[in-house]
Amino acid sequence: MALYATNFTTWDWVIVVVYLLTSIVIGVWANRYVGNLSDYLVAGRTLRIRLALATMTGTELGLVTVMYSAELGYKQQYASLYLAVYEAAFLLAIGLTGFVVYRLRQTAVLTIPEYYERRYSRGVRVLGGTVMVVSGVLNMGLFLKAGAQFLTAISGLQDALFLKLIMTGLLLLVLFYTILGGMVSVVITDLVQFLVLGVGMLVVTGYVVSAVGWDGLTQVATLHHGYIDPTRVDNPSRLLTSGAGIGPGTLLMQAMVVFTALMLWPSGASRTLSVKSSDVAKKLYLYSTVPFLARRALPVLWGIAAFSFFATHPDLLATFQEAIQSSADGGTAHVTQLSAMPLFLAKIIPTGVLGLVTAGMVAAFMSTHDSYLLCWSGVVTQDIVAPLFGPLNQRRRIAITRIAMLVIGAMLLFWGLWYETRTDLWSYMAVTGTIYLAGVLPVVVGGLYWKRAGTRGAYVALLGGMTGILALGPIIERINALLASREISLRVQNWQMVLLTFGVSSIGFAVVSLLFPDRTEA
Amino acid sequence: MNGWMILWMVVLIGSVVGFVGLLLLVGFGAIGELRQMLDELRADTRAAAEHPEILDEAT
Repeated sequence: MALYATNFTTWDWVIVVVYLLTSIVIGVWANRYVGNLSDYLVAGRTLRIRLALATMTGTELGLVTVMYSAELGYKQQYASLYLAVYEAAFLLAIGLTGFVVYRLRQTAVLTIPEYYERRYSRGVRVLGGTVMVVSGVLNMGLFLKAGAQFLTAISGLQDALFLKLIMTGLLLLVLFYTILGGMVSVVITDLVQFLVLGVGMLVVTGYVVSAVGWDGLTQVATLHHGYIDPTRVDNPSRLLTSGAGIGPGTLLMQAMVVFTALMLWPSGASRTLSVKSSDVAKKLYLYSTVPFLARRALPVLWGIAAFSFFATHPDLLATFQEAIQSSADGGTAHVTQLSAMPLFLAKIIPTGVLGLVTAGMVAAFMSTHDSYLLCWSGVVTQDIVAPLFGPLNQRRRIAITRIAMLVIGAMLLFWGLWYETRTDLWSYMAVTGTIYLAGVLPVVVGGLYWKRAGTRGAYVALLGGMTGILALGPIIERINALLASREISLRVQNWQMVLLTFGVSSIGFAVVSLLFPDRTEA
Repeated sequence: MNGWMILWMVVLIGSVVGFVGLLLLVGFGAIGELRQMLDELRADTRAAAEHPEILDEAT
């Protein structure tokens, strides 16, 4: 069997293209429902629970989530399911208690930085908005590449040029309908995308389980010595050369990142702020436990099945690993371990169904991109441009949001084309997300629950989050090379840097707030 | 099968069953909610059309 063998045919392309055109029509149609800025940014705060659930799931269950979860499933097998357990447990806790999200919705702000201004100062708002956009765009930087890698692997297109053309095309499509219809367009397309994606995920899971079988899945743990216990630091699987370990440090770091992201990641928070009331916000989190568990667990299962498939096809595994090496050495095809899952699906799902599944995955890609683009560009307008150069009328604000969306799109394309991650995709996302999350955690939680939370403390916390840049792969490599050149045996790992960033921000916030409290009016 | 594998199997099976339930829950009610949302938004677009000066007020 050839590595790029696929059941994807012209019929599958037709299905995908028809689906894409439908999304464009919906986006154009939704434009008629945008009456003012609130409609454009938060759909006039009209979301009820089912629609909110569909759009929250559509946004957070992106193709990038599917890709990084499947990559973890392939590299770390069952042990990587700890992330699914984390998300479900934390969402359940937030949904039951309403921690942060209930009070945040009560403030009736449009964005998190707007809350910074109400609680602290305009300067904190501008700084917080800037950090949020920098972190968000860096975080989104590899979405395009992951999406295109899925499409090229599943359709059998091997040339890196196709990867670039597909990246550009997908981005232009999402930009088109999001710029036109804003959040109204996002909500309607998210609902369609949620249904297409949801059915697609269940269909894929059915094919995956029947292709590998119960024996194949259990043999991952027994015959192939797969990774089962996430508290182990070393990855016992000898089949893959680059299957990183997890261990207590990474478990702690991921707990911090996942918990904070669930409450305060801007795209999720924008759903919290778009719902009708604080009670709906709380309910949204409670009910999101199920889709968030599934968004991690099902793609991990596909990755585990891909591992099992390659383990039982040693020739194919050898070809795959050669292709990864050749790609890393500058070959024409772009292949990494992210490609394992789509290469596997391309061989087991029949023609026609493969087109529907691919349309579902493209739906996942678009539903994440549209929300993210709208979210970051909304922050640029509301929290950076308007406070600095305002006052601005609503027409101008919508125009600036649209321009910001175009600029961010161009940056994503540029970043996606040249940046190569040296870690797995999820680690990259956790690290880039930390730049924002480490600062927002103390600033928002402190602001909502601690009377002595102060403006200077907020500045320190937000700037402290920028130390998260030190956890990026190339910078860690440089730090370690420097340590090695000075014959110091210590080696820095990214989980240590991420925890350090959270520590710097939170401790800095508390200490500075206590030492330099805000002046209260007499 | 050890304790970890039992946990992971429960997580995987729970995900599939829960996701099916969610699709049914959302699928059978979201269209009605979408209609309500569009009706409410129509009021905004009407107000913007009747009073375009609102959009020109600087805030």
